[in-house]
Amino acid sequence: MGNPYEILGVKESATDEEVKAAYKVLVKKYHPDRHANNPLEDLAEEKLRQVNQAYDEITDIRKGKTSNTYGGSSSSAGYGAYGGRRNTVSPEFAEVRRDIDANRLNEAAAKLQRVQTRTAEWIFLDGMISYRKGWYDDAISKIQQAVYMDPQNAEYNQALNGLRNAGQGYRNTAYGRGYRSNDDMLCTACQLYLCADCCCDCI
Amino acid sequence: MLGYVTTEKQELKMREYEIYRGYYCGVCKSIGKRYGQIPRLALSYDAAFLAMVLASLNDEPDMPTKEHCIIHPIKKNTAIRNEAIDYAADVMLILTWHKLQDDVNDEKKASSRAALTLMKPLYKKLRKLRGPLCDEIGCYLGEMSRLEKEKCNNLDQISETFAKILETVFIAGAETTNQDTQRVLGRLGYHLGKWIYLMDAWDDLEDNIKSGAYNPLIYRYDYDGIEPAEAFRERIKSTCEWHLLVCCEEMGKALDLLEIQKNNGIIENIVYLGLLRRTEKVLGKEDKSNGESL
Repeated sequence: MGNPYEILGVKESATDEEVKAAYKVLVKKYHPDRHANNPLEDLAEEKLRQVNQAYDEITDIRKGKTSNTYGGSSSSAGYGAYGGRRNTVSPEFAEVRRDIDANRLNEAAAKLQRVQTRTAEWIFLDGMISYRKGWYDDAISKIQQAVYMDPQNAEYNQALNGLRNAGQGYRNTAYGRGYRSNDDMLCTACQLYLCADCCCDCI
Repeated sequence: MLGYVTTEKQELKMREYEIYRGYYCGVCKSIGKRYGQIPRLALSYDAAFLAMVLASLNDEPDMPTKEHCIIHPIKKNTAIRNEAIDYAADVMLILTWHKLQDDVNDEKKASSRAALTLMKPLYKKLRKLRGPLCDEIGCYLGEMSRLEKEKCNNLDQISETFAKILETVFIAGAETTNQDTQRVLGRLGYHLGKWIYLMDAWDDLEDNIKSGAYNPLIYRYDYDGIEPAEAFRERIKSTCEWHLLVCCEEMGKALDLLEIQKNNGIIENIVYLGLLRRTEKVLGKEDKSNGESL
């Protein structure tokens, strides 16, 4: 485990508020909701664990051993810990789900093929395999179909919404990092200025 | 690659802009120094991005030098040299070689044939230097042209061929043996490749409809040949936008997990601002007259 201040990306002289702000930014970055069902989920999980631990350590140092992590006293139970987001799962698909979670997509697909009845869950899992593979066109149509067959299922609905809104999440992050839509007149003026500037560069 | 990957210049700091230029010019210099002046024409901004991501994994400081340049002979430009830049230059040339070969095979263009002949000794060098990479890229491109000939209507499958190329390129270019880093790089490359492929398909749609050349969108969304191209484009626009942005989102997520040691601001600028700007521009949400990035 490295220097907790380095992990949070703040100086040792940072105020408590600055530490907290940096911590919140990182939690958002590695939050399980953002990385759910992603093949890199485990890496995000690990990062979040480190961030929680670092924040714990800093608060321990600063407040004389009274931990202040969100949602619990031990680092593993810090803000946004993973797990416990599934509702009903049929046992016949337990292994397929384990394979999907571990990114063994070929094995998962092969096991799925051996099941004869195409239930909503079957189609959903088939869609999730596509999603992990990066076959989004296929994934969204299958997940849509699963929702159509079982409209009340929270897991399918959540996955569908997540996939549908993926672009919006990206757009929001982009706006948060300074993206300006060109509808903004002032910005257009800036761009014209920059074009002129580029022309000067070339000469 | 096609030069879709650019920065949002007005959001870069001066120093960042200078380094970005340094990478761009560095790729060009790298080609010029090792292979002569002509192949420099293959240069695109995509190579600067590749070099920048790969170089960001170590913390060796970038050492910009002021150099004269054949394209801007009077002014001295900033150029940076490192191994990642050499690698990106080679990747660019390998892709150019295959593109020329494709043009010769498909369109029997005389100019491409001449260029191919000129490039032959260069490609021999590249093969010696990066044989396995050349083979892998060739393999995926072979698969791509096979699917194109079949008039593949599976957008995931056809775009994956180019996605796999960039996945391979990003992984093979990293010095690291850390498997987690390789996974992250692979995912970043995969989605960049997919995004580029889809951008290109969308961009070429009208041309391809006119000329009758293969375009995956025509087959995926059942273009009947009668519907005006504009109407067809409008019909599939929101789906294509969604698909492009999903790729961007996944690139962003992968980037957040990459252990970047330097140039974070520039890389984030490209992934979050440059790619979005390009996507919106290509989708026609922006006035086309808005300038190029550099």
